Formats: sequence, C-alpha cells, structure tokens
Amino acid sequence: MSVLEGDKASLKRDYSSHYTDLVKASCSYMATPRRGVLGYWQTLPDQDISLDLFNQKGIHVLSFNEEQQYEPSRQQSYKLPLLMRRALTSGVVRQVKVPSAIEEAIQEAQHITGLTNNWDEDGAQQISKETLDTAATFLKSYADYLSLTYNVEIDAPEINPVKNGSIDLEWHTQGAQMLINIRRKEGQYYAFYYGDRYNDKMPIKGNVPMSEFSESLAVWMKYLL
Amino acid sequence: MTEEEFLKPLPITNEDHVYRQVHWSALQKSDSNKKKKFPNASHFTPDADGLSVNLAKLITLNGVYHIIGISFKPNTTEFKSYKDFKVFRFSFSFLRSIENIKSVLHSPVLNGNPAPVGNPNNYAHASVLYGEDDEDVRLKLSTYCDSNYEQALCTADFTSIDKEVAELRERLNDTPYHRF
Repeated sequence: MSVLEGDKASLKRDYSSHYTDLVKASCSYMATPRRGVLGYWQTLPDQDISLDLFNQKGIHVLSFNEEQQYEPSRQQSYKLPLLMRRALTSGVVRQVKVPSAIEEAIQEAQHITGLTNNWDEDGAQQISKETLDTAATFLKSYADYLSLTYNVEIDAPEINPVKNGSIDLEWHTQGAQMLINIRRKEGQYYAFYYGDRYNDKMPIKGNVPMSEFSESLAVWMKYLL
Repeated sequence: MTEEEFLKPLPITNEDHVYRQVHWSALQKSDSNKKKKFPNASHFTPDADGLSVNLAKLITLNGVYHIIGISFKPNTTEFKSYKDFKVFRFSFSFLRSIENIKSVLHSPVLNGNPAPVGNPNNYAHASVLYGEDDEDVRLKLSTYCDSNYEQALCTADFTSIDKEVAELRERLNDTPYHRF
C-alpha cells in the first residue's frame, strides 16, 4: 500500500522516491486483504496526483489524470479491474501539472499517428498510437519530475516519427542537445538516449526501459533549457 | 564496364563528399505554425545496410534527383515525388570525426543490366555504417546541418531537373541509370 500525504513539501519529497514504492505496491496487492487495490494516496488542494501504470512489456496500460475529479484532502484509492491485476508490474506517480510547452508539443505530435506506411516514400513504417502515447508518457514523467524536484521547466522537444516506427524526442537548446528514441526491443519499450553540451562536452548515453525511471538521466535533462 | 567492374568498391578519401537525400514534406503537415527543425535526427535513420548516401565524385546533384525521380515508391509503380526531397552534403572527414560511425563504404547498387523500370542502378551509392544505438550519430548529423546550413544544403535548379526527369521517365529503362 502506498500513501502520499502531508503538506506540499513532503509531497515533493515523497514524489522523488515514491514511484519505486508504487512498483512494490502494485505487485503486493495479491498478498493483502484488499486485493486489487493498487494503493492509497491523499490529494491536497492544487496537488492532484496522476498515476501511470505499465505492464511487464513496458506498455502503458492505465493512467489517472486530471479528468478524474479528485476531492482535495480526501484519501483516494483505486481498485484495479480483475484482468489488469496480474499484468501490472510498475507505476509512476506524478503530479498532474505539466509544463504547457510540453503539453503543446505532445498535442501537436498527434498528427504522427495519421501518417501511412511509406510516409517518407522510402518504406517508412506507420507509427502506432501506443508508441506515441508511450513517448508522451515518458516525456511527461521526466518533465514533471524535474519541475517538482528541481523546479526546472525544461524546453519542449521536437517529437518526430522515425522510419522504423519509433519516436524521437529531440532537443537543441542553448545549453545542450539531446536525442531520445522510444522504441521496442525484445518486446518491451525502451528509451535510448544520447545528449551532450555541444562539442562532446558532458556526454550521456544509454537506455532505460519504460518501466523504470532513471534518476541520472533526469538530472542530466536539467540542461535542456 | 562489366558487372564485376561496376560492383567493385572505390576507395573514399578525406577530400570526398557525400550527398544525403531526405524527405521533408510528411513532417510539415502539422497544423502548427511553429517552424520545424529541418533536417532532424530522424532523417538520418539508417536501413539495415546503413545510411544511404551518394559519392559526390561519382554523381552530380541533378543526378541524385534523376535517380529519385525514376525510382518507384516502395511496392508501387508510381514514381517518387523528387521535389519532396532535399539534399545535404557532408564531407567524409566530418563523418569520420563522429566516433560511432564505423565506416563509409562505396556500395554500388546493381539491379540489372538493364535494370527494371522504377528500380535503377546507382553506381555512386555508398553506405554510412553506424555502431549500435545510433542516437549520437543521428543527433550530430542533424546538428551539423543546422550549424552549417548554407554550406550543407544543396540548392537544386528544378527548371532543368524537371525536364531531365521527364525525359528519363519517357525512356523507361533505356537510360544510363539502367544500362552500362
């Protein structure tokens, strides 16, 4: 069971570490009398919580968002539909508030799923909504984390389709450049990334599965201003 | 020239340049008025045999557009819209400076002698081979074009290219790009 409560400061502190607790919570429900209850959390005024859940393949399967009307300062819980219980392995908790530039970029990118096969006249694959949604969830998760934890609002990336059916998130900011490619590998979505502060300074390269959160990547992304 | 001679790779030197064609129109269809960066890293995604480029010492800019214009779109008998492509020029020495680029190889494409209509040969074809996980390479190629846009973008004269492609299409597979 996972509980987020307290004042704004403690909520921020909880946020920085709690997504791992939620991973445990989502796996432990079978052993509790409250079968199927993913967790409990308490919302505060203007501090609604959003929850994104992933299955074993890293596919985004469920999210709570601001459209669900949380009542401030009341304990919330969610009972998982039966069929979802076994599939869920991880969750990311985040605040609903998202930097508007990021939201705009995601909204503008929706046309990508309308591209048909061969959209580059050279055999490009269609981009699935699942891939675009996974990329959007990833982007929002890291942007929100930076906003909450470091009070940093990173620039919005360009969101581009890639001919192999994946999605690129691409930044060229004053301080740094970064490319994050969201694609499937061995049945699971990963973020493959490279960034530097131009001229190969402070490079970062690696990959992270969607079901995990990379603190080191998030910290590096603070340069994307 | 025999088929064996056609397929024999030529050495590439630091003084050489390559042309990379990128398709641009599909990415401009957003309703947004925001200017999209062009080209972006996605334009440099390689195929299984590497990123396709053309050796500038073996083909002209018009020639690059000729080959696009007489090639069919995949799985169709419709010619590609060559005006939807832009061509960027890279020096081989720059490509060599990117750590994760493993090699650049001359790799002529031979589809027949004569090659079928819509599927021409390409003697100038070369392949840029990346290492695994190519985000760094793609990002640097994109940034290079952005930082050196005037030098990298090849400005085409479509007045002449339009006429040349129209003539080549009329000749079906009786062109220098189909027979040697």
